[in-house]
Amino acid sequence: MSTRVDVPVDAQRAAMRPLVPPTWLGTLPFLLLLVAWWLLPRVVQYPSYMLPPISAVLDFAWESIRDGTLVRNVVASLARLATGFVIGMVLAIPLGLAIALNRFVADMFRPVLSFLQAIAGIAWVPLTIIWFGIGNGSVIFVIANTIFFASLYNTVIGVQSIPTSLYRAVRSHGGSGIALLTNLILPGALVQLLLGVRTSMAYGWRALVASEMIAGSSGLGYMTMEAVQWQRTDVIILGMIVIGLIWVVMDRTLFTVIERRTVGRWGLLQR
Amino acid sequence: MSGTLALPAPAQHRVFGRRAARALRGAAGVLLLLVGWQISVPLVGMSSYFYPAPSDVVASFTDLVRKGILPVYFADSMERYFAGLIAGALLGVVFGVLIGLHRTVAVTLSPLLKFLFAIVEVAWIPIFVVWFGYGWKTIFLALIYVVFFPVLYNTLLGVRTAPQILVNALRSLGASRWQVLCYAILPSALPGIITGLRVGAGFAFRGLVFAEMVAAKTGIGYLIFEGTQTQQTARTIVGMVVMGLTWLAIDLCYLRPLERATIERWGLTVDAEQRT
Amino acid sequence: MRLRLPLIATGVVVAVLIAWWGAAWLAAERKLAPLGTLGGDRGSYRVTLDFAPERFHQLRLQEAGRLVEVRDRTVFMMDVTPAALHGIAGEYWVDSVAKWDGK
Repeated sequence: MSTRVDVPVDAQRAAMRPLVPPTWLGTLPFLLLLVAWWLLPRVVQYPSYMLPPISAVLDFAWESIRDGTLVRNVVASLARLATGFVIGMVLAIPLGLAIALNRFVADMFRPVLSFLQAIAGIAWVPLTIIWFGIGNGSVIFVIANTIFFASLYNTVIGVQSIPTSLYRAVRSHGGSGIALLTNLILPGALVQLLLGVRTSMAYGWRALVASEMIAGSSGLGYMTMEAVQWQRTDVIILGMIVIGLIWVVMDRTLFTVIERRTVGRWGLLQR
Repeated sequence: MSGTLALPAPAQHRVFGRRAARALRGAAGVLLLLVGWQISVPLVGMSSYFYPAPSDVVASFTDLVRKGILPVYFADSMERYFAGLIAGALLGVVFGVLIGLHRTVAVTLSPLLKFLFAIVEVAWIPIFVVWFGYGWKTIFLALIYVVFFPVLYNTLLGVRTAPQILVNALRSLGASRWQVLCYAILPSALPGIITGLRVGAGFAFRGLVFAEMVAAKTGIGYLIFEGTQTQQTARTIVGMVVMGLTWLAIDLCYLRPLERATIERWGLTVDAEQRT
Repeated sequence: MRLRLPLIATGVVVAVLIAWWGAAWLAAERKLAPLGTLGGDRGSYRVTLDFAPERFHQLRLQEAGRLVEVRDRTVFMMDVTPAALHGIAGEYWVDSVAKWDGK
């Protein structure tokens, strides 16, 4: 099929040729929003705390970057996320393996764990405030809680979806017991865990922001919610933008990279 | 399943005896948890403010029902949840279809939509509180927000991947654009829409509880929060239990059947739990 | 039909709601019967609960009228329309309703 974009001989044929929209179109909505935001206070009257002018947000952004508070908050949030993530995973994997490998244990704990997964995360915040007070302990517990149940579920599913032919393959090579565990089961569980990282992180990230808002003493969530008291909407908006940016960055770097390198490579992912 | 394996794979056949045995074991698990919890209370030795016993929780539950608090809180929560869920889903489908049908619009709006969804609904609560105050408006909007995006994306995907053959066939039979939409595009997008709905419903449920903790005066989320504030931690646990049971009920009664109904009909995806 | 379960669940919910409102209406009729016919204007009433009212109940009662005093298990209210009173009497945690002369 001809790819030359000539002046068409036949107008109808030209109309049928598919047009690929250029990608820079994607920036238009952002530009439009910014323009609208800039115009709004000059066109409509409203109390300034409702929507701060762009300059206010930019000023605050610059201030908080300069005196380090923004960076500190971001780092604090990410550190808690990482800690909670690691704790949750480390606790979940052995338990998940135990459950997946033993039918009796699996049947016994399935209803309990399904139930606990339904309340995982944010619902525990009030309890954690009582137990650990306001601060890191509460936030990390909630994140670990969320990731724990998500990872538990993924581990069990991962083990259960290992094809029986692979079991036979390992056994026919003389493997059993520990070899089976390390060569087959653990990787199988890990694959599903990696696949599920994006979803578990989605819940984990929300748990982080939410628990910081209620039970935190620093961090992005805390910064954003605290500003409500002082009606500092510039802080709120900056907080929201940073939260969004961090998720986009995490998504782009962590999750797609993980997916591409592991599952995409091993051909288990159906896009 | 193969007898040489030391590791059982999930059974697929539905022998009644097996199901009964599994249910019994499940019940035993629950019982074990409750008994263990009850026993641990004197061992832990803390007041019921820190560590309520199951007996405290049961007493609290009866108290809350007797005083008419729990039914109202539950009804308020469910009202908000389903209102937000349905509104968000409808908006998601409508916009998903509109955007999906026009490639240029899709390319233009995609980055913005991606970024907006990256700002999790939880992060919108503070600004919503400033704009709309505490109360149902804030919660409703937050729920619509969190349901909108997954449904939108999945609808978009479903619309874009509608089999061109079907569309062409319908068009060659003289179907109008509306008929093509209803008979070819929407049905093929349906499994995706339901998946999006399921994802959104999950986020929305937790979002609901959080929003109620922060911005409401009634509701299960508020109950969970209020219990610890008023030194009635047992009430918090009642709230958590109700939350868990409610989600299981919603999942079992609505989300899973809907998913099974659309997916099985078109055979397009495999439920992870059905993999052997 | 595979959508049986959602329809049944919705049906159950609707049935429960209807039964609830029906029972509330009947209970209100029963509790308000000794008061005889109420005029169209606002009145003062003594609302007695089965227990000491919590904040939840005070908020609910405030939707119907002005709370003047809470004594033990009884709440004294003013400016309550008959319709609002009917609503309160329908609540199952309200034990009885009596006219109040205002002191």
